[in-house]
Amino acid sequence: MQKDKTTAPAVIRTGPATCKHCHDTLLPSQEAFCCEACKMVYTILQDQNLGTYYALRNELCEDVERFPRPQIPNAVEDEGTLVQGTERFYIQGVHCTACLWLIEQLPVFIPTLSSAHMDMSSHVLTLHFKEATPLNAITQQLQIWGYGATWIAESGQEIHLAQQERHHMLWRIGVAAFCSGNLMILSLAAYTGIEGTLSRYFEMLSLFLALPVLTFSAWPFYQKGVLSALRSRTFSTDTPIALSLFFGSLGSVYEIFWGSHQLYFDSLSMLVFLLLFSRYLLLRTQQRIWSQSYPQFETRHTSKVAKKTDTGIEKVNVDQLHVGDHIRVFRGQTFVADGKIILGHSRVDQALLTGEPYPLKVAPGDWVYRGTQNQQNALDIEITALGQNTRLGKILETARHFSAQKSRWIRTAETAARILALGIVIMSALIFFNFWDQPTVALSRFLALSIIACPCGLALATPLIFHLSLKAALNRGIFVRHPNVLENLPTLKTLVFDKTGTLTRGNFDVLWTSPGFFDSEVSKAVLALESCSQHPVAASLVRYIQAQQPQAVQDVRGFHILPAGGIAGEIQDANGKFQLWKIQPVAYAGETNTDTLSQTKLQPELHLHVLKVSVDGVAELQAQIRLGDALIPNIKPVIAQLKDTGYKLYLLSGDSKAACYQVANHLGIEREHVYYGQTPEDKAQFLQTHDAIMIGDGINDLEALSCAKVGISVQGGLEENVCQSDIYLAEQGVLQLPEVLALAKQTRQLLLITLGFALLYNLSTIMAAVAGYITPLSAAILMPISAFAVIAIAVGGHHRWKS
Amino acid sequence: MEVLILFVPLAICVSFAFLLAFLWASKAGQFDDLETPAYRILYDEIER
Repeated sequence: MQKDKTTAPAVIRTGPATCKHCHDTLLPSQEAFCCEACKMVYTILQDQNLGTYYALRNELCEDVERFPRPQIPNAVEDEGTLVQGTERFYIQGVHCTACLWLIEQLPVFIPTLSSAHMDMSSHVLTLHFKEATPLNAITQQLQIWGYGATWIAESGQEIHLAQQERHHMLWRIGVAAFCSGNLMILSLAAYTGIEGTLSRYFEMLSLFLALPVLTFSAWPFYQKGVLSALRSRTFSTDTPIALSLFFGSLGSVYEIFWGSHQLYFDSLSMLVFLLLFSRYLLLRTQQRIWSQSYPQFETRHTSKVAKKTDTGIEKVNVDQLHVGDHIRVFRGQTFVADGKIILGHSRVDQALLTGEPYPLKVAPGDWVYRGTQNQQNALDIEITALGQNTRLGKILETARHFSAQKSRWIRTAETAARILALGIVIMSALIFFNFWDQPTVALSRFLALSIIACPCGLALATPLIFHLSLKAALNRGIFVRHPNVLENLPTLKTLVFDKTGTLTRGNFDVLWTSPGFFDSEVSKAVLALESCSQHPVAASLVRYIQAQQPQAVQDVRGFHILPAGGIAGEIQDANGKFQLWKIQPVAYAGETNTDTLSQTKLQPELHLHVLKVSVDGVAELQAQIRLGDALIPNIKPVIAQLKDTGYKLYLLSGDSKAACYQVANHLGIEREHVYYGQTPEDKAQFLQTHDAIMIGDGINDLEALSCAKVGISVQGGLEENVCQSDIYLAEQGVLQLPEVLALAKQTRQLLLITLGFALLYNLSTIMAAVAGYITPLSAAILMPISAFAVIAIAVGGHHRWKS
Repeated sequence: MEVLILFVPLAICVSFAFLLAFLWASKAGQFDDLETPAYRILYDEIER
């Protein structure tokens, strides 16, 4: 490997010193790195001679800070799972050449890997293994570098099938392009008046070139338009296309041998090419979204668990478990089944089911549920339900049931196709009724009608507009599961919000500390004491202090938990004397105390916990700390804007009355539209009876999101969300809501304009065909004009919206 | 003009070769990932 230091350009940075790894501003006390983690990553890379990463990044990644840090899922300690052969991972947080380069160096770190290939468009990493490797070795390595990695638990066959589908479609497009190009040149001869044997010869060549297009390339239209339409007894936009292609090709063959040599092969095959191409574009965009949406639940399902047997503990697969088995669940692991605790005390993160941000204390006799996470100590549980019968299983089942219903939404394009089909039938009947005594005229007019009535504009517009909209959404970090959602979103005028995790951050954060907290030794003492505690409040306090003022942690003597709540311990002061410090909770009512808040000019947020810090023997308080769940920054103007646009806003939350009213008051949501203390089932009930858009945080609102007409999720793991909600706002959560609504409105408008145009065009050409004005030449001119007009409207409309 | 009887099929045969090249390229996966090679080109100079 060539040494890179000479090739790397010197990066000139002005202003304060920044961290060598992450470019965060350094404090005066720090030398080259902002934290230990950055230093470690830097050292690892230099040790392996991979310093090129920095050269590439500084040179090519314009603005590291622009990209949000990925939400890295908690590592699950499933060291039992081995992977081999070819496996795929979804990678979060990759944005430039440097990231790509680094990730593809993975075989340097994991010798059992033979190669790594990253696809930047779908963010999927494909790994080839020489031998079986533990799954967590890979995910952990990527997490050290700051990338989130999710194993796509999908069989090799499925990957192969999706790839094959794409390749076949390309083949059909290639054949159609080749044949239609040559056909157009050949038919030009006929239009300019070629006659005699040469004309017969060209006709036969045309037939030879048209056959592969009208059979092989056009096969999907026959399949979807006729075969599946007959099977499901529904009518799709493909039906008139299939009929048009079928009658058009049969009619043209008849014309060659027995008729007046009026051939439509060139128009038909060009149409097949354009339609296939627009569909391919949509398929690619959709596969880009789908490749990122495999459920992680399945991944967990395949991991091994520790089962207790008579002889000891044995590792078994989840599918080998039975109700009544005893299993041990370690710290950090996710429960794979519902059960009752028989041994051990711990805290369980139930956010997945309840949305409660605060981990629950559990003891023997308590229930635990599949999908929740054990956060502290190992627990032994007796399994009471598995798989589909668990609470999570039932929620997922309901969600699937409702999303299956939603796919049967009315599509504007289908309505238009029905109108058109009706027009064709009536007009065909009219032709045969009018010319019943002149069969050749009737036949040639019917042929012209069936070709010119082909709804190419109609069929072209929908995939093209959807492709452009989905792509625009994807570039903004918005995942739309099905394009139909965009079409129907503007018809809904009611927005229902969840509170925790949607309008608020959903975390426990330090919101306020009394003045002078960092000046004295108070912060040092708090840090020292809280570092000894395993309480979640302690974790967020430690995080807060270390972020504001990084420092070494002092020793604590005689740490203990106070009987009335709170913690205490002795800490050495500057003179070497030990003092007893106490941190205790204060009883606090969330709503009443607003006077201090207005003084500190903070938003009136929710103060779930207030702590007082005191020193034994000193009368006055040393400090006061408030912790709570803060509103998402900049959310107020967004909500106000939505209200002004005419949306009806509702708030549905499982939280208390006071907390809900406080948020609603601040954001301007009417009190009668606030529903507090709602269980997931209540929310689902509400959304089944209202035509509304539900905006929730994806994890605990799964059921409500799937019952709503449109479910938009804003937070949580990517995998669960794209599977169960219609739209997932990955980057800025609820702040992107106006953007989605605008995009949907734009999509619907464009769709209506193009469909209206196409329908008008088709109906008027049908009239012309009945009157006998349509010849192969006019069809060859009119059909591309309409197709390109539709493309121009779609692309132009999107372009205007972007700028 | 009769020479067209020979030349038109010949021209079609030549273009058929290009169609075959396209079919091979799509089967070989050349169109599967259109984005990454654009990034990769930037570090080809450094190594490999």
